[in-house]
Amino acid sequence: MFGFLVQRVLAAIPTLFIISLIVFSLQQLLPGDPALVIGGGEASPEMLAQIREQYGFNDPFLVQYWHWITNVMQGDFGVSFRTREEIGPMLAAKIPVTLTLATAAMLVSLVIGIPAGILAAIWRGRGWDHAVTVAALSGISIPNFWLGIMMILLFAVHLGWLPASGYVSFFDDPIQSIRTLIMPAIVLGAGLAAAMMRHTRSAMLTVMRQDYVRTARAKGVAEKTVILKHAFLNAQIPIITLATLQFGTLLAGAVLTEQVFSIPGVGKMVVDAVFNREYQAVQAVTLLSGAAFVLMSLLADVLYFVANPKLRTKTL
Amino acid sequence: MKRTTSYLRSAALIGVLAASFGSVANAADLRFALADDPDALDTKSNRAQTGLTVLTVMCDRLMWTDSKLTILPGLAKSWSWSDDGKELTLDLIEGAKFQDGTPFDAEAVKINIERNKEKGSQRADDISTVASVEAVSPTKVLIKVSEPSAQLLSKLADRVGIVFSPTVIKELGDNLGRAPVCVGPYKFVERVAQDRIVLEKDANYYDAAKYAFDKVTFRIIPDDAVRLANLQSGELDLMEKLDPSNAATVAEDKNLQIIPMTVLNNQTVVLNLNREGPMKDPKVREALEMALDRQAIVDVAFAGQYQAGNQFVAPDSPFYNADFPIPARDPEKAKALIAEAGLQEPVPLKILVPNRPLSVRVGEMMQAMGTNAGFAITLDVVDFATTLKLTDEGNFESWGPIGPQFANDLDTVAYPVLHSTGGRNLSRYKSPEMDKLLEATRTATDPAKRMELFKEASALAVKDRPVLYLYHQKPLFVATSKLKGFHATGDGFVKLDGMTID
Repeated sequence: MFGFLVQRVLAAIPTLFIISLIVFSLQQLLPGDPALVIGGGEASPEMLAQIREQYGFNDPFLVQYWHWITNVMQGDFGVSFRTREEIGPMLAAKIPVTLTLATAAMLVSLVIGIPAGILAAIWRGRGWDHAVTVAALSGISIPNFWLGIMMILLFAVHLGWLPASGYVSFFDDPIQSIRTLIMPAIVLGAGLAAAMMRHTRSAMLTVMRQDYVRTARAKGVAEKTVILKHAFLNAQIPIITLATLQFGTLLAGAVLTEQVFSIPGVGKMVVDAVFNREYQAVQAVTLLSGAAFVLMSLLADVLYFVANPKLRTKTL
Repeated sequence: MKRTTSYLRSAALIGVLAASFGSVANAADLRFALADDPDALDTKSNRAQTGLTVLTVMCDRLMWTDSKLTILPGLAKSWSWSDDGKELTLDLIEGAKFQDGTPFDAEAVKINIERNKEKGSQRADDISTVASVEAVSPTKVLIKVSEPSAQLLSKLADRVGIVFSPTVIKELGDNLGRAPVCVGPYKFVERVAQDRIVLEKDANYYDAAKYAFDKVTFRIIPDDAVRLANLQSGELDLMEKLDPSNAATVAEDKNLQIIPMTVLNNQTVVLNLNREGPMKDPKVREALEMALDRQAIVDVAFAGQYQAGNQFVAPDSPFYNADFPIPARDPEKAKALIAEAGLQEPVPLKILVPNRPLSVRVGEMMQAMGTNAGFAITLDVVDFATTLKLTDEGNFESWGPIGPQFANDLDTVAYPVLHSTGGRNLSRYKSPEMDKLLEATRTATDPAKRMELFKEASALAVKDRPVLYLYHQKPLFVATSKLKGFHATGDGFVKLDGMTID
């Protein structure tokens, strides 16, 4: 198992390198000149030339990339030319924010999606199944920004139950932190829960048609045990795959939800960085996103081991 | 018994939670929402309006301007010009200290002005006429200029007039914006990018008694609707940049007040005169002007909250040239002018529009107005950074709405756009007559003479139409109705002295 993990981590390094190279190249194709963004429309040609020189925008693409990658390897992600803040610490401050939001949204997704999916599979074709399917379709279809603004108007403006937006660290003020997280977690989790429910339902239906489920029932095992122990445990693999993939996506930043609820996470940072042509910040976030996916894929592999005894005996 | 205790515990816990949920911010704090994340909190590199919003709350300036753009004393309590207009002497206030305890003196002013003149400074062009700065005594600064400068005082009442602690300049250099220290009522505490900036009252500030708030928290909330919802829910006390289309809703809310601000600015359509095409012909530019109904744009796109205009200053400004009022829309005249220019209708015109909702709204209105006035207008909506690149390369036909957002001197809204060497002359307009007039405004230290020169320049701009002035923004602030004493500088930045929340 340990050897397997080391192998996967080592394989991630060239993946991250290739991702960073592709993103760096794509950024060069973006229309717009970062020197003009820094200097503004009123900057004289001399000032623009100086800015280009200062930030190395005149260097060939590969030279710019080499400078960036060598600095990153030394832990230096560069400085935002707009705010003069260091990008590394800025990103480090955003990771716990995004992680908190992603975890909360994931919890919402799992707590709603899995039970709803199981029940829809059990009562396939009946009222509950149809109701859950409609709810799932709505969850997927309703845009996050619309749902977010509607929730703000209802729960913050009219009822005054929750803060309209913002983020408070759990360690600074746990209660306020939970209060600020409720709405964004529901908004973000609703769409994920819908997908989770559909996957759980489909996986459960496949498993419940298997012979061992029929055998368990024939032996007179209680229906609850059949569903939870025999069927659900065997339906976990696709659910784990989806959950880890969803979590990886969330770690890369939930742009719209962060925007609507003014949460200073990774998604908001990357949007600002793209609009301001802050290539180094975009690169830093891209690396983080790549690393998050690699990590989640690793986590999925570990969970497969835990969930599937057959896999354990085969590999170990 | 055990069950009762358990119920009591639960009730107590719910009570504590409820109390916490209902907690409100300390009334001695101000929560102020900004629409954009400020750029560097350093005058040397600052460009964005929001950066200066924060700096204005934190820092005093050498001088201030009022709404009539009169120069008022600040850290410089008085000043005088030499007879030849080439030496400016500033008398500084005594006993003031920077927020880090460093004494404020003439040497600090000298260091800051020289820093703003350095290569790469965004302020270098503002004070290009400054030849030298001398600290004559701890409270006297002598500034020598290469030629008489009518706008130097305005620049000292703008970002150049913010003085940072020499200790911090030495320590942080170009990274000063990470933790700026100046002379002012509020000192920097922390900044979380894209989230908040927190300031706290500086007890050592010489005029601290005038400031009611112990703490000021700027929250960055880019979405207009969310910013307003936060204010309505009581999470904020004050916000900037209300979407004008929400003004009517806010006006009905007894808990809120709208505060419109009059600031020197304008929004235009820039016409590229350097590009082969119909816009090179003055008759077609006039036809385009005839196609536009500026008041309708203001009424529809901005719910009547802004002001229509056709010159670089608004019609109610003393600098407005009343001989050239806003022309009424006349589609028939527009078509006649197109025929006179020997062109076939419809004349195609592509407008480059920054991808911002209000800008797109204006673009769409111009498109609709052009349709029955002989034009076939198409909109090229792209993000702002891309418009900067395209216009810098001259790769556009027309661009708008665009223009300076704020200024405390007419030079800022006229010279860069209309002078042949101006940094924002993207229409590539070249008129020796205009150049002469604008250069004269820079050296005319007599205000009456300067005003006449600006009026002449205005008349020439109206005649040549390198840009079509459309309207003047009146930035809308919204505050809780409990907020009293709101006021701002002449260039439209909120000041907190005398402001309270009941």
